[in-house]
Amino acid sequence: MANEHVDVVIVGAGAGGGVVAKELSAAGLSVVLFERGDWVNYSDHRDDELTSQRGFPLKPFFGPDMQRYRRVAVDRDGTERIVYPNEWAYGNIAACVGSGTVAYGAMAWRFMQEDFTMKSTYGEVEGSSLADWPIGYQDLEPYYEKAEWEIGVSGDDSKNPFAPPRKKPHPMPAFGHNREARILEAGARKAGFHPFSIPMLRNSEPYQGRGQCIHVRNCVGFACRVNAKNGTHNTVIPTALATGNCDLRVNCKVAKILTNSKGRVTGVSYFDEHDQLREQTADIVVLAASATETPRLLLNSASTHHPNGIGNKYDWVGRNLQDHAYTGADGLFAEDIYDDVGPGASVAICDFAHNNPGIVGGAMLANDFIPLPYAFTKVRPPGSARWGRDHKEFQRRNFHRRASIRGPIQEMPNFESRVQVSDEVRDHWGIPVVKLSGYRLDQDMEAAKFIADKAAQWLEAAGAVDIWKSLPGLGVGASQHQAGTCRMGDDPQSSVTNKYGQVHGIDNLYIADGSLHVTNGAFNPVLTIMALGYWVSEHILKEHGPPLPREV
Amino acid sequence: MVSGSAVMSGCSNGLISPYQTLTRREGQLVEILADRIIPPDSRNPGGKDARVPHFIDQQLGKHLSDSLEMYQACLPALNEACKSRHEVIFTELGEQEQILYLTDIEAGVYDSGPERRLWGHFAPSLFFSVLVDHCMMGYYGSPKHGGNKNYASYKMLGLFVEQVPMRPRSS
Repeated sequence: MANEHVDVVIVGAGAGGGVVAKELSAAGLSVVLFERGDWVNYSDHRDDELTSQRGFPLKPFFGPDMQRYRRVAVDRDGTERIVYPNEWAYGNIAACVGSGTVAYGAMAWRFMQEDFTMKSTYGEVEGSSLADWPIGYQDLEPYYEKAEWEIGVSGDDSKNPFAPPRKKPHPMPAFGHNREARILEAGARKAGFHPFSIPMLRNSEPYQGRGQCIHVRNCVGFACRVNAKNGTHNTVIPTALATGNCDLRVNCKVAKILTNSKGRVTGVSYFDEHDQLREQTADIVVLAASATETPRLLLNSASTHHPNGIGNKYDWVGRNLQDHAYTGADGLFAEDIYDDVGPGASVAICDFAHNNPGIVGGAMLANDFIPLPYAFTKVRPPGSARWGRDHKEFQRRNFHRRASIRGPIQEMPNFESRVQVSDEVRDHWGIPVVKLSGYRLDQDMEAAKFIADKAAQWLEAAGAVDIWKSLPGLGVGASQHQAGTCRMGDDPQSSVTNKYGQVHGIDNLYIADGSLHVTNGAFNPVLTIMALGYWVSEHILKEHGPPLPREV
Repeated sequence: MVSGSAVMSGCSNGLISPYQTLTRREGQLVEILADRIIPPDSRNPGGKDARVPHFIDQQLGKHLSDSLEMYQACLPALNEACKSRHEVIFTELGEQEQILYLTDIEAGVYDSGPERRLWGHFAPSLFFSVLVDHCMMGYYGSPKHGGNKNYASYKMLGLFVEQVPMRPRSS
């Protein structure tokens, strides 16, 4: 039986898609929200480190599954290999209702003003396709505020002298620090830095009918035991469903965007939970499938009108893939600093996010989330024994004495770091899979060295006695912070969408995920993706309805 | 529950194997290796008693099945290759000699030379690094995957399994 035509189809129930579903269904539009995964619960996963989203050597509990999904990774020498969702090179983003927002660390950063104007701030960067965003921080500020209040953020910007201007404070007070973070906070002050409590999409007090955080160690990588971590799965998506206008279809894999003879979008084709190929027509389609899956859909939807894939007339779809080159330092202390109060990450500085002499960009720096016991087996100074008596002794002695400072280096976009679709490899449904290739630029490595030095300096000031730095690799990254593959811009010849996320030349196709990011900030990107969800939604409502014009 | 393959391997050895995927002989070797990689001491159990071999056995038939062929090729090779420098097979070495031999494997000493052919197309040092990683998963991961008996490693690290709700001090 054919599906009833709807106003809007949204592909992907994550950070961006969840927000758009709520905004449009609350405005009275009929919405179908597609999600390839299903609802997930804490009780089905509990404390299982080996399948957590933080590192999943056995399999990723939050998806995608190991049976139906694969990708192709291209090494720097051009060698292609098939990779699976539990491998780093796959570029995993959770496949469940809420996607990454269920199991994330929940840092709720607003990008700084400079993060939107990287080209004007730093000029031409060799080898980079660096550009300014077509919108500025001031444009997005009200939507950051909306995300903070509707989804729920605890924080206090007044302690951060580098915070961008805001009209309204965070809705919940900032979190305090555990023992490690208190020591690090004092160290940061001693070093002349400006420490403050990380804004978090987590309840420091009861908020919107859900309770407050209980500070367990298995937070990042896990669903919350008491539902105090705020994602789209427990805020905007339930609100969307409660309107009665939003039909959430889980376990459905969208295959193609459908277009008519004029090149306009008419809906999507998808495989339902029984692997039956079906169609869902709509007046508007919004892609929020992630910075790897959104370009895949566009490229897999070629037609006579769109021979190189939809929105790809000038070959920008899939280009400029960015992630965050995480860098930093670890330190061991002479005494126990661990008090088992989670999630661990709580103190940050923005002193080195920008304005670093001789460096393009930089990074926010923060203490790391608590590593669980298996993850801690990888935490070692260079040259340490990996096994035997020394291994065991290190675990026992240092699990309670280690701190780590890390930051997301703002990678410079480049045209060759990209998402393509494979000519040969297909997934369970026969759809050509994502092929990832590219590299990081020398400038990223310079920034990484600079930031690692600052992390080490911070640990030293805090009293760490044994400190070692870690630098990122040169390969392209596409992990949970993936971004940039359908950048927004004013010029259709050098971007994929306009500043409202509307694909150039196709008035009824929108994008609302990290693909839009021209640059990916010196911060975790989720709050920006949520803010863009509100921003794009407002434009859809202004331009299209309600009531929506029906195509004749 | 005893699977068909366990019964088969049990018959061929004249004894029932406690393992489902590994043969009794392979399992015994993994037990020794698990104790060299995470040795027992007066304070906390080693790999064997924490059921690391059971984790490996279970997962080689499940999430780590891609590594099964490597184990089947490399376990006998590891046992035999030791003869050329130590004169006896691995299981007949003393504990300290076993540690020295494994240290050499890790360092790549056996990645070339006359014994290399015993290992088939798997480099000895690669197998050892995979084995170490699997032992760590089995010792430190959730008991639901077959290892970390009674959360032995969590106790070793002074961690309560189910944390009591608490709040940090305000800054």
